[in-house]
Amino acid sequence: MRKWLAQGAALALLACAGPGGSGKVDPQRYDSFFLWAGVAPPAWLDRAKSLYTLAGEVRAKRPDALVTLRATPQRAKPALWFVVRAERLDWSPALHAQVLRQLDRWAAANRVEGLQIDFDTATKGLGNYAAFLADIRRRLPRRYKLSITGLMDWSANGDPAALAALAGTVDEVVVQTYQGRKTIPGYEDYFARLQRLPLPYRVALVEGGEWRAPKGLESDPEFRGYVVFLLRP
Amino acid sequence: MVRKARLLISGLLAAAYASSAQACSDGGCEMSWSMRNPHLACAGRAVLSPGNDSRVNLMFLLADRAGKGPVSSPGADMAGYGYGNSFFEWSMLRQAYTPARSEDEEQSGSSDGSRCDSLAGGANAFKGALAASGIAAAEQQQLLAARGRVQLACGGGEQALPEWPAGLASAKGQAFLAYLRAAEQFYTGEWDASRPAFAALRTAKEPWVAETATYMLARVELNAAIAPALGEYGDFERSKVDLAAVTRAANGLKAYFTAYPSGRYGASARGLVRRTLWLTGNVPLLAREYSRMLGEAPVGAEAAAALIEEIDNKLLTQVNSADGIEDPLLVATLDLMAMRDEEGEAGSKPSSFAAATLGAQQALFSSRPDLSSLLSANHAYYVSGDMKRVLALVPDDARQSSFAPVAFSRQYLRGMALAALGDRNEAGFWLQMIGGSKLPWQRALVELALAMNYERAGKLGLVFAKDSPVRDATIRSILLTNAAGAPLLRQQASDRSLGRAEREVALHTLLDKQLQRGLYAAFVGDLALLGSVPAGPAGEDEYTGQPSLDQFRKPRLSDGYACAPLATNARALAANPRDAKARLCLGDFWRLGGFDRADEYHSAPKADELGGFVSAFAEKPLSRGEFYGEIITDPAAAANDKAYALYRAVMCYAPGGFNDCGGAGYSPAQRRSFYTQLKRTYPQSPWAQKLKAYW
Repeated sequence: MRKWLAQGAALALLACAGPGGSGKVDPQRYDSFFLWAGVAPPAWLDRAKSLYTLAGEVRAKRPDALVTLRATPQRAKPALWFVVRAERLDWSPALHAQVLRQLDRWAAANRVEGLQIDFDTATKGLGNYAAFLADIRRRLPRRYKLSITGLMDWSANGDPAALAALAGTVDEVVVQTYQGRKTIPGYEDYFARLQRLPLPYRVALVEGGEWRAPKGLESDPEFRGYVVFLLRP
Repeated sequence: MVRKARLLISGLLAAAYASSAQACSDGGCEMSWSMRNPHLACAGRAVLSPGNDSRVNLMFLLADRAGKGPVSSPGADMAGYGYGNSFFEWSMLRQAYTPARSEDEEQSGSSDGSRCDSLAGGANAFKGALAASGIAAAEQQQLLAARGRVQLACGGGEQALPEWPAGLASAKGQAFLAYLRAAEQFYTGEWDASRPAFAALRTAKEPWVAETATYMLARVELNAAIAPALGEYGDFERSKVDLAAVTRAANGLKAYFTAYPSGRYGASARGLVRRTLWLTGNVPLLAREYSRMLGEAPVGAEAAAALIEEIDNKLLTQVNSADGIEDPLLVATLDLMAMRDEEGEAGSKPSSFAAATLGAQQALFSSRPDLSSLLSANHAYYVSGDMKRVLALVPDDARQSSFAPVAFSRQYLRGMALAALGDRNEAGFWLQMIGGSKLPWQRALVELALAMNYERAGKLGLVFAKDSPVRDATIRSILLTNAAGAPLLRQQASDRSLGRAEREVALHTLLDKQLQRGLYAAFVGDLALLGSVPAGPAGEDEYTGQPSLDQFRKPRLSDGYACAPLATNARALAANPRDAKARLCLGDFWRLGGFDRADEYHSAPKADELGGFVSAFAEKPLSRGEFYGEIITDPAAAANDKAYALYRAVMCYAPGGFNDCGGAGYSPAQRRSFYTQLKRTYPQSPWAQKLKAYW
């Protein structure tokens, strides 16, 4: 149903779309991006500094395998993050090995920053997530960094103890400000609370989404810049 | 309804040549609690309709034709996404229609999505072929070791490869070795080198080598065809596929089937044929092959679900219309997709899908008039908005002992048309239909329709009557939370025959709304009900997402400004709603109890959704933000209370400058003046001393 997805997504989100206005995110003014499966890389992507590239998914029905979503990149110019979208956390040893094997395969042909886990955890589940990430960190060779995506409500409601545990484990969190193709309205409100996040973070924007940097964000010492999620044109 | 903001982009956009399109499987789905389903959303329904995921519709059509139901009942809404028993995602439907995976299956099938996968998987076959060839044991060992070299080469990396074995005496052994050399060239991407090598081996005397080489030659061509389309980021650009190589691959596969009609690579080769059809965009032939496979698909087994996913990825999402496709199930699925509302800058409008297209398809549906009229009825409902035509197309057949998916969809659509026409027999129709609504997700959908009918007819009491057919907890909860007035809430909260969860929802809603709307005397009276509703296990609300009655049972009243118990405070407000101290304390109760941000998790249903028809409470909601402003300008308020109101009004905006207190809010200039007023007028107040900044 992919062909119709964009329409459906936009529509499902009408309810949460804010009023139109200025401040649309123009990817060419940024240097770091999410490249998801099915999104054709634009020509100017070679100029990017870093690229969070969806490599595969761990699906709810398959705790034993990474479903690969792209071939191994070859001599990509930007530094790459190997992104795994996970629907579950009880990874089998074989799955861990598979992820590390592929990570190495990517690193053999590209500059690889590290591994990013994109897991949509319920805020309440952060405790388990911390344990999962600590396990990943133990398995991950030191040459790779560990990044995670975060949802805005983590910083609003996350258990500080669990977040503190993440701070010791992951190198950064990329906080998402969008839902579907739209920036979540009221995002300014969340950022006031982002100050509670005790670790380096980046802010993910969606191409074409609304964005006005909230006061103080860009001067926050933990803020490491933006990552723009590219959409299918 | 908007639930907690969650990420759904990954699911929505995850669709690649190697993947199935999984919408929203990581949650964050929004569903509309109404009967209409015109837009693609991640939450599907048991009614074949435009808004369903195409995989969902195709699975229902396939199961309907096979006369098969799910093999397991769907689990509860484990993820807590609020689907109730009305909505589901493809993954949930898939699970209901596939047997649980066995341990063995869980262990197998790990795939890196690379050529090397088949190499690892083929180890035993190679060993078997060697054993069957009658080659001397020592040569067999050498050849097995040589195959290890191929595997090493496929993995890439820097390590040196062992030498090829030298001095194989037998002709058969040399044929195997030649095969391995060609295979290594294939696995390392040297198409031009492996092509002639495999071509030469097609006539090898050793049967295994000859057959495998014939098959591999087609794989070489297919990989060569795709190679130029793989970008530097591992992405796939279809326009760069080498079509001449695809044609050679297709011819190679034809040659394989001619030489080996029931060959050992038959299943794989058929998959490769589909790939050539997909790569060349040969929709009619690809659809014909899928039609044949659907005819043999074992509904209820993993293979059927996997086939549906492949069809979705490679056919349904790749075409703009059903042109050139003849299979009624595929055409029906595509037609429903084409009837989805069209999305534009100005909002959505009905699809422009023409009724004439359906007319032209009549012949395809000669054996399925039920399906044909279902499609026409969907068109009448969603596209042309002709409800009377829906009734004409689908005669009343609501009384059935059970409904297969197509029959259920037909009758449900008829009920929707009755609702749209305001037919006075609508409720009776649903009551007839509910008896046969036995497959998963059917009954709750009928309950939803009935509940909406009762709500709009001002008969909400019927939903909550003793013998009510509306049993679904989520539907009842939505109505209690959004549509029920105080008497009904009180009745449900007090009813000891009801489950605890429903009584909690009713009482929480009642107490919350009464306080929020200044109905203080009634609030005090209803607080007594807290004692009659049993307390749940500690921490339960953490998982259910329901607001907890603990907010009222064990209220946090104060973190500095002294306050009376909740009931005492409410009594004071009942006596004088403008009592400054009591209002400040109510504000603290809201702030400390987490009521401020409740609307981040729950927003009101839209007017055409369940619970959105009328607001049962007429009074305007109060906010602590307004309390503070009024106390600041109230000449009768005590100095300490004014100081606290000023402090709180400023703190509404800490630390980010965003209003947490509700109401119209205050401008930055007003906040600055509150700050200055507190510092100048009440310098000795602890609140003045505590406040260090304004936002």
